[in-house]
Order: sequence, then C-alpha cells, then structure tokens
Amino acid sequence: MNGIQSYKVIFNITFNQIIRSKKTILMLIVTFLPVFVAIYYRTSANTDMIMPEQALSQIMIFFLLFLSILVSLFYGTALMADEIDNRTITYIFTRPIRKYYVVLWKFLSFLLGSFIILIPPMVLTFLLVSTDSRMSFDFGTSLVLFTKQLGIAILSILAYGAIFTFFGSRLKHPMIIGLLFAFGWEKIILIIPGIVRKFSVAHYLLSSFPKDPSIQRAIDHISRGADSSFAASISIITLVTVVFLCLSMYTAYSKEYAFEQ
Amino acid sequence: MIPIVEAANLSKWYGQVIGINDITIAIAPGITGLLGPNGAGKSTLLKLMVGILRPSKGEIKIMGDHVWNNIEISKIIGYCPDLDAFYENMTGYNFVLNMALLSGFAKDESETLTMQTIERVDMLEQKDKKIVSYSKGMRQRIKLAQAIIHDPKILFLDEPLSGMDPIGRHDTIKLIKELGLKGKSVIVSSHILHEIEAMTDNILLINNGRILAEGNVHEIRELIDTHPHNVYIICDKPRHLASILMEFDDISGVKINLDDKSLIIETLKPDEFYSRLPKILAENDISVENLQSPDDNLQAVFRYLVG
Repeated sequence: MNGIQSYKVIFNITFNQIIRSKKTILMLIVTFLPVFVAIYYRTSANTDMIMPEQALSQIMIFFLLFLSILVSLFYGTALMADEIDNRTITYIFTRPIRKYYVVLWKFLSFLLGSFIILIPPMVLTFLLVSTDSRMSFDFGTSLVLFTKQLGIAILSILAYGAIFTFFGSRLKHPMIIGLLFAFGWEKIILIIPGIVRKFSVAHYLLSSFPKDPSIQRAIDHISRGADSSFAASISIITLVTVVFLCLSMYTAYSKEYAFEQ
Repeated sequence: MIPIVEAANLSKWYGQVIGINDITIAIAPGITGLLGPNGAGKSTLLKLMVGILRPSKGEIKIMGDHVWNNIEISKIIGYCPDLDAFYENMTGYNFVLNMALLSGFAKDESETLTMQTIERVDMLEQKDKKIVSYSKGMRQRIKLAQAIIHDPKILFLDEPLSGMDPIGRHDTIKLIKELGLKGKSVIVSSHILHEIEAMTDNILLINNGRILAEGNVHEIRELIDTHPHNVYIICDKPRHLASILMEFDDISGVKINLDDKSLIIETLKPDEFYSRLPKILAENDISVENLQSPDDNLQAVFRYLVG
C-alpha cells in the first residue's frame, strides 16, 4: 500500500482537468493580452507614449489586481465544484483517503496550473518592456523589482485561490458569489475612504507591492495612501490563505456532497 | 453471525423530503437484493451504507463500525453508484487504474489489478478508448470494475444492470454470483424483480423510505397471506359463482367484469380458496374457461407490499 500515490492521483486528475479545460484557452488568451500590449509598445516608435518603467508597472498591477484574481476565480471555484457538479466526487470519497487531503492536493494542483497560465505571460511582458532602449532602469534593477512583483502575484493566487476553493467547496453557485466578491467587494472597497479597505485582500496586495516611485504613484492613486506595512500585509495574506484553505478542508471533511445530487 | 450492515432507527431527510424513514435492519453476509420502485429510497440507503451520506437520525454501521469519514471501512467496501458520472476524457483503463491507485495500491500492483479487473468485466478491447465514447452497457461494466478493483469484502451495487444488454446482464449476474461464492457480501439494488431473483433469494423490500419486508424469497411469498390475493376467473356463470364465494369470510371482494364472463376475486387466504374452489365449481356445475392468479409470482408480492 502506498499512501502518497493516492494523493498524487488527485493531483494529476485535477491538473489534467485544469489543463484540458475549455476555459484554459480563454484564460490563456486573456493572460497573454498584456504580452500583445507589450509587443505593441515595444514596436511603436511613438515618443508620446509613457515611459517603459511606468508601462511595466501598470501592466504588472493589471496582472496583480485583475488577471491573478480572474485565474484564481475560474480555477479555484471549480476545484471541488466541478467534481460535485460532474458527480465524480463519489469515486474519490468512497476510497480510503482523507477528504481534507483531497482538497489540499487539489489546491497544489491548482497552484501549478495557475502558475503555468499566469507566470509565462508575466515574464514575457517583463522581458519585452524591460529590454526596451527607452528604459531608464538597468536590467538588474528591473529584474529585482519584477521578482518582487512576481512574488506578490503568486501570493495573490495563493490567497484568492484559497478563498475561491472555499467558495467552491461550500457554496452552490461559487462562480457568481466569487465574481461578486472579486470584482465587486474587492474593487469597490478600495475606493471607500477609511479603514474599511483593510477588509479586502487587494489592499494588502497593493500595500506589499514594490515601492518604486513610479509604481507607488499608481498604488497611491488606488489606496489613497492608506498602506499597511509590508510585514503586516504579508502576514495577513498568509493568514487569509491558511484560514480559507483550512475552511475548505474542513468543509470537504464535513459536508455531504451526495446530498446535492 | 455478525451482520455486515446494521441500521438502527435510521432516517435521512432531504430538507422536507424523507429519503429514509426509521429503518432498523441487520443484513447478514452473502448476496442481498434491495428491491423497490424508483424513488423508494434504495440509492439513499446505499449512500448511507457507503458513507457518502450521513444519517439525519439513528445510526448505520458496517461490520460494527460507523461509516461516515471512516477510511478503514472504505478499504473493505466497493461502491458502484447508479449515477452515470465519469471522468469522460479518461480511458476506461486509466479510470480503473486511478481508482486502484486511490485505493492505496502501488503503481505496478495497480496496473496488474487493473488489467485483471478489466478482463473480468470483459472490457479489454475497449480499455484504451475514452469513456465518453462508451455505450451505456460499457459504462456500467467499467463502473463495476472500479467497484471491485480493490477486492472489497462488501460490495454495494446500485442498479448495476441498468442499461446493459442481455449478454451484459448475464455476465454481470454471473460475476455477482461468483463474488458471493468467493465469500464476498454483495448488496445489490434494483427495481426489477427478476434481476434480483436471478442473483439471490435474500431480499429487502423498500418503498417510501421504509423496509416493507426482509428475508428470503419464500418467506416473502408467505407475506401474501397478509395481503389480498387476486384470482381472475373466466367462467359461464360469473354472477352465480360470485354469490357463492361472497359467503366465505376469507373473500374480501368480488368484482364482475363488464364482459359479464369474468370476475376477479380478492382473498386473504389463497391456499384455502384454491382447495375449496374445485368442489364449489363441481357442485354448482360451473364451467371454468380460464383461471389466473396474477399474484402468483414474486412480482405480485412486490406489488402487494408496495401497493
């Protein structure tokens, strides 16, 4: 008997579902849009265009606040919900495996799938813009900055992925609730003055985003200067990830999925 | 003998709808047929038995242990759901292989078991095709394969013959009987009597979430005596025969049909009725053209009990 082998099967089944899903084509088109923007920017000789570092920072914020959330929403909500809707969960939950580990391995699979979909266009966009001759930073400085941005984008996938995995485990219509949360609550709350914004994940992602002056202006515009410290932001993002992942695992352990069938 | 399944005051509600209503049963090892019409509660009861549903009230145990979230029980049971649900883009081979791996077998062992099991359900030729391309019968076979891949002690099969062609039915019935002979316990549901009858004498009759009767076919047949038994007679003097029969206490009803040639007699004691009838016919010079008892089969028992 080989315990880890069982969970690798969950990982593989989920990964195949992600990669072979029709929505992956849509996701790839959407996540590669900034690459096409970068190509256009790179090939354009228009001198009135914004500076490369500003263009890059804005695109990275787009990756952070839109694309990483979109990818997390589409795949996170589907992690458990697809198995429930397709009624294949029965095959998994009648096997001698821990239900909460099923969620954990599915989440790991989601992370790999999301990284494959999101990171290549981020890297390509960075390479296209940062090697532009109009760039005022040297490549090394840009690379350090980009690495930090990439790290925050990964944290975004982790946090939103955990939240949407919970939605998919718990709710009957996780996509609708997820959409309302991601592009309703998370966006509207950022423009409300005061501490209310601290009840959004996006606030902490923006607060921990690299503090290059050109980027800071964009962040200040969104956060209106109400940043949390880097350490606090990372701690809260990590906490959100752990809490929602644990809630998802507990839901899988305690919920009667066959009830809905 | 320790029951393989024990339920005590078991109930399951789906909101306001009662799925299973206060069932107390003890199922002995061997093959047991769970018989009931669609919506009777068969699938709900099986789902409670395999631990994918949790009782709303009461308890259910497999081999003396609670089922819900008990992976030790999952190791000894196999479940073939009635749902036509699959990982459609997987091949039949990969589906069964994955189920073997999920059962905890190492890769090499899983591959060997998968080939053996697929051969057992006669799906070797189709094993490399995607499940989405399978016929209903093939899907049933591959679903059965995943249920037996880990050689479980107790097998729960929910309508396993549904959608199968006659050869598939024959093979599956044979396989279930073989499993029984090898000492496995099988609980198999169906809404078709002769399917169950072909597999086992042990029957649980279920309707409206309640167990109506349990025991072997013969014991259940005896239950006929507690329910009205219909006899259909075509004769030359139906009205005269009706008037004679109405004098007996065990006759609960007589209906003369519109054709005025036939009558339906409802009796609570069919054995006494049949022993008395020839004498009545002879003494009253009644000529019988046809006598049928539509209840004289297992189907009738079922109809009586669920009716």
